[in-house]
This record gives sequence, C-alpha cells and structure tokens, in this order.
Amino acid sequence: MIGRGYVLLIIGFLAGTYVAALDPDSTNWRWFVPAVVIAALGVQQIKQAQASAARNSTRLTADRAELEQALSSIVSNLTELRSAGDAVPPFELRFEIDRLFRGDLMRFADARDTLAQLYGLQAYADIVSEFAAGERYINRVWSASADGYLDEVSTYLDKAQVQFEHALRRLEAVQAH
Amino acid sequence: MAETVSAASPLMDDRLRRGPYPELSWHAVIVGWFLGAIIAVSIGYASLKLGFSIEGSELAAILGFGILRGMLRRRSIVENNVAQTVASAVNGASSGMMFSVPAIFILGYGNEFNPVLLTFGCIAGAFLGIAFIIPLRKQMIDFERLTYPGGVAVATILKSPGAGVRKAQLLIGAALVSGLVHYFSQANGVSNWGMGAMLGLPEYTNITWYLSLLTVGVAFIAGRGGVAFIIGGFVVYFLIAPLLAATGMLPTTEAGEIIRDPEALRGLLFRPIGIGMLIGGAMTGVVLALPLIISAIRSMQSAAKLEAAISRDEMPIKLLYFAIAGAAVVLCVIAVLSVESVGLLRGLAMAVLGTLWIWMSGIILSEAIGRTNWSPLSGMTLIGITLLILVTSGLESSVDRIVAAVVVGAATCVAMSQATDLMLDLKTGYLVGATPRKQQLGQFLGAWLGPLVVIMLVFVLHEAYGLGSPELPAPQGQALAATIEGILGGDVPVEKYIAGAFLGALLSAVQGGLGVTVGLGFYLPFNIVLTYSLGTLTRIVADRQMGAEWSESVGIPIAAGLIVGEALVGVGFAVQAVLGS
Repeated sequence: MIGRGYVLLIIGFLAGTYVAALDPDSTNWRWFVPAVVIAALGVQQIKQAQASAARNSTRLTADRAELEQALSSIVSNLTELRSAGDAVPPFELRFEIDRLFRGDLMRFADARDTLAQLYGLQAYADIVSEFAAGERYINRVWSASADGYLDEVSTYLDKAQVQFEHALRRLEAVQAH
Repeated sequence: MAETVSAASPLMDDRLRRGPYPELSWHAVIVGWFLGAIIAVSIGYASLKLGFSIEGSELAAILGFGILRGMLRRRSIVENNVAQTVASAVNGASSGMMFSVPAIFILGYGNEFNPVLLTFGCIAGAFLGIAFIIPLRKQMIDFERLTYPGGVAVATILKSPGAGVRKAQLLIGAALVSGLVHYFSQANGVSNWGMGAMLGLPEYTNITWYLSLLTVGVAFIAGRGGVAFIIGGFVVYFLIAPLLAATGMLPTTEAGEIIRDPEALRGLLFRPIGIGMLIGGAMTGVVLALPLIISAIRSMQSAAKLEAAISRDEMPIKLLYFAIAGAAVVLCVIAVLSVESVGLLRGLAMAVLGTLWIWMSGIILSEAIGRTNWSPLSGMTLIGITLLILVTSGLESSVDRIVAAVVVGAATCVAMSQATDLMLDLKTGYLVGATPRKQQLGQFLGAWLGPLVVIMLVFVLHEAYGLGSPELPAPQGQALAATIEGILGGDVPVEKYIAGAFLGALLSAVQGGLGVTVGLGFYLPFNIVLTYSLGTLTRIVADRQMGAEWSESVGIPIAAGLIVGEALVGVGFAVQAVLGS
C-alpha cells in the first residue's frame, strides 16, 4: 500500500509541476486539480500505511526498550564518572565523554519518535526536553574539560545526571500508565 | 574571575582553573561588536557589489577565537560562542537590509523616506525576530534535531583546540584547500564549469557545476537531510524542463524565440513555483507541528512553574507573547509614520500582516537553513513586500505605496535574518553546551548595532557611487526594484505561487519539512544543487563504507574546513573591495 501511495504521489506531483510550469503567467487549473487529487490520494495511502506501521508492536517494543536502555546507560555512566573523581584527569574527561555517551545519546535520539506514538505528544515534549537539556549539559562538560574549568565540569556533570534521571523517571512513569 | 589552580595534585597543572566558566562577558560582547561591525561593512559592501551575501559566523568564530584566546589569553569555548553570536547578530542586519533598502534608492525615492524611522524599525524588527525564535529553538533543535550545517561547522571550529591535533589538522588542511580553490576561482573570474555545454547537452538541462567546496562541505554535514533538496533541483532540470522541450511547451520571448536559458526558465517558471512550495510546505508543517509546538510551550511553562534548571536556561516564554503584541504595535507605528497617507487602519493591517509574515517566514527560513544551510531570504522578502504593497493598494501615490511597503518590509526582513542567524548560533551553542538564554541576550546586545552600521554604509556608498550604478550595481536591490515595478503594474505570478503552495503542502503532509526542502531545490540555481549533490553522495558513501563514526570524527572536520576556507577567502575579497574603493 505504501508503494502504491508513493507512486500516486510522484505521478500527481510531477504532473502538477509540469502543468504549473506550462505557462509563465497562468496555471491551467482544469489539469492541475486532477493532478493534485491524484497526489493527495497517494498521501492518504502513505499516511494510512505509516499509521499501520507505527502500530506495529514489534518495532514499538524494540524502540521502547532502546529508549529505556539508552537512558539507563547514560545515567549509570554518569554515576560512574562522577564517582571516579580525580581518577580521570580533567583534560582527559572530554575523551571519556565521547567514548561513554555519544553512542547512547544517538540511540535515544534515533528512537525518540516512538515516544509520541506510544505516550502522546506531551510526554514526548517533556521527555525530549529533559533529554536535550541533559545532552547540552554533557556538551558543556566537554567544553569546560577542554578549557580546564574544574568547577564547571563538576557542576554540569551533576546537572546532567539530574536531567537524565528526570528523563528516565518520566519515561518510567509513562510506561507504568 | 576564574583563578588558576596551584599544582598541588599530580592531576593538576597550571592550565586548570577554578571559578565560573566565562560565557556572556563584556569581553565577548565588545569583541562581538567590533568584529560584527567589520564583517557587516565588508559583507554588506560585497553584497551590493556581487549580489549575494556571505555567512559571517565562521569568520566571526575564527577572528573571535584569535582575539579572545590569542590576544586576551581568555580560554572559554562558550565565551567564544557568545562573541560569535554577538558578531553575527550585528552582521544579521546586513543581509536583511541590503536586499530591501537599496531598492528605494534604485527606484529614485532615496529622499522620500525617513532614515531614522527605517533604522529604528529595523532594530525593532531585529529584536522581534529574536523573540520569535524562543519556541522554534525547542521545536527545531531539541525536538526535530535539524542539522544546521553552518552551526555544526562553527561548533567544530570552536571545539578544535580540545578535539585533538588530528581534527585540527584536518580542519586547517581542508580550509587551505578550499581557500585556495576559491581564491583561484575568484581571481580568474571562473565560478562555474559548464560541463553540459562541453558535452553538447541541451542548455535547459543546466549541467553546470558551481566551483565551491563550501557547498560540498555544507552538503556533507547536512547528510541525508539534503537529499530532498537535490531531488527538487533534478526534478526541475532533468524532468520538467526536458518534458517541456519535448512537448514544445518551453516559453517564448516577445519576439517569438524559444527560451532555453536555464536562468531565464528559473526566473519565469520554477522560482515562483518554488516560492509557493516553500510557503505551502511551511504552512502545512505548522499545522501538523502545532500540537507539538503547543506541547513544547506547555512543557516550558510547567518547567518555569516548577523553577526547574532547564527553565532558567531559556528566555521566558512570556517574552514571546510580548513580542507578538510588540511586533504589531511597532510595525503599525512604523507604517503610520512612514508616509502621511497610510492612516491608522491601513497601518494596522500592514502590522498584522508583517507580524504574521515574520512568524511564517521565520519558520520557513529556519527549516530551510536547518536542513540544507541555504536561506531563501530574498524570496521571503519578495513575498512580504508584495503582500505589503497589496495592502497599500488604496493609496493614490505609488511613491507612498513603495516607501511604506519597503520601510515595513525592511523591518520584517531584518527580523527574518536575525531569526535564522540566531537558530544557527543556537545550534552551535547546543553542540558546545552554551546556555540559550545567554546566547539570546548576546543576540539582543548585538542586534541594535547592525542597522545603524548598515544604514550609514548605504548612505555613504549611495553618496559616493550611487546605488544601482555600474560601480555599485546592488543586484538584489535591482531585482526587488524590478519586482516592485512589476507588482505596481499588476505583474505578480500569483497562480504560480498558489500552484506551488498546493504541491509543497502535499509533500509536507507526507513528511515534515519535505515541501520546504524540495521547494528550495526549485528556487535555487541548479549549479548549486548539482555541486551540493556531490557532498550528499560523499556522505552517504562514507557512512556506508567507512561507518558513521568515521564521518563524524574525520568527515565533519574536513567538511567544516571546506566551509571555513571558502568563507574566509570570500570575506577577504570583500575586504579588498572595501579597501580598494
């Protein structure tokens, strides 16, 4: 169904563009409107197929697990990094950040759309807001580490931890409902 | 003031510091003002001479880096980010005003408008554009995670001292190559390679490569986000144009000659459809994203109520409501005062339209620049001024109509350019961990200066050479002046805009942003799209063959270097032109 939808969309779109480009001053609406209707039918079929795919429980389950694992892993890595204290030289911390967090941050970001499908837009907005702030704080730790600002590194490691824990708690709360 | 840590522990050395991490400091603001004014004059002059504007963020980042780190011995990536934000805020007025204001002079009404009012209007417009970005930042950077290739390039520059020697070498090496290529291209006056003509292909297929490694770098960073943009260009020149030729439907001149020149075809047929697609695509995107935008605002409100840490990072959402009301009031005052005959009701209509247009075009531009790094600012200004001229249609004097529309239009244009500039800087800030509120304050601190610098530049240059003269052709201003004359003569491709809007809306209904990105491929010259496709292809192959990690750690520093090298040489030519005159 999705393939047929795309075929209709492409045919309608190309036909519409061709008709619109026929004359510099005007558009032949008698030809343009049918082309747009064909494209709109294609859009409808694509949306139906996408909605059906979004309800596919296998993918949603996998993504849901991915979201939780990624956040849990970030939280536990942050705990570990904070407890390591002086064991990690301050200037080396940024390389640890790249090693420990980039993969999990990307995993969560890639699966984040599932949040909206499973729990609604408000849950999506709340959790992704917390996540994005946490990611920004981790990026700040990277910068402060590169510049050698010790207090900033420690403050923003704490703030990042709080932020990701909030995100994880919110995720667990919506999953529990 | 941060203090240096004594070497009491084996882990500590004299490079380590205690105390607050410098971010929004007077050092950053003053360096930003200084650089911004220089860049605004250079780029502003270049745009009057060459007809296009150059993104100044990379230059501001590098020069700010040199001054703050090299001369002032300050060491803070986020402070560099604020300095670059302030500088690009000053420069934001350049692209916003250089497209709109020269048109008044070219049309011969340079003495008919109040420059103080215009400058005040542009400053107010700049502030409004910044405030309008508050919810968009959340949606486009936090939620949609748009790429903003220019923002990524600047972040790569700012982080380069800490990212290791290898990345810095890649960045500098690529910048040298790109700078050299651009230098020879500019010095020899060869900006394009007409491969299609060499192969004997029809002119309308438009196979001409834009000799710009910056374009390749931008496309590499944008990655798959740029595919739809390429599709737009290829649809136009590889499918529609040949189809029109095959069916004998290419347009003709008044003398009956068939038009095959791709630029003429773009201006007559494809660009208006592209503008319509941008608008239709963005409007559909807004409708579809509205629930998410409302959720984002609710999320910000609840964070503010709970006094959560993230709410302190953002400008208060209330500022947006004030901005919307303020926009309407300020634009109304400017419209009413611009010429006597406007009157309160018409001024109010212009204000409401201008405010809506700032919001709508802010979304279009932020989306386009976020996905591809190209900003259709001129097209959005064109539509804005067209709408404003239509509102003034009751005025008897065409001079009054033009002056009122361009004065209000310039304010909306500066608002748009500030909004897109800030989105790029906020993306950089996200990647280096800057605080959005401090960046936005930095943008406010820089935004007032640009209109003052640019209006003085415009008057000085007009006095010296005459805008629109062979010495200073101001091509963008000429294009707008010609369009204004066309609008007054009833020559507006409204049907093309409407048809394009339907097509863009359909695409954006399938996938958010698709109508805008494909529309941008219709709108821009194909030589840019063709060269851009090389960068996209390289990224796709690199991701597949070398892995995403390689693209991130090796490919992006190289791509950022390609952007930086060409931008620096471009600004160098602009400076040379300023000094030479």
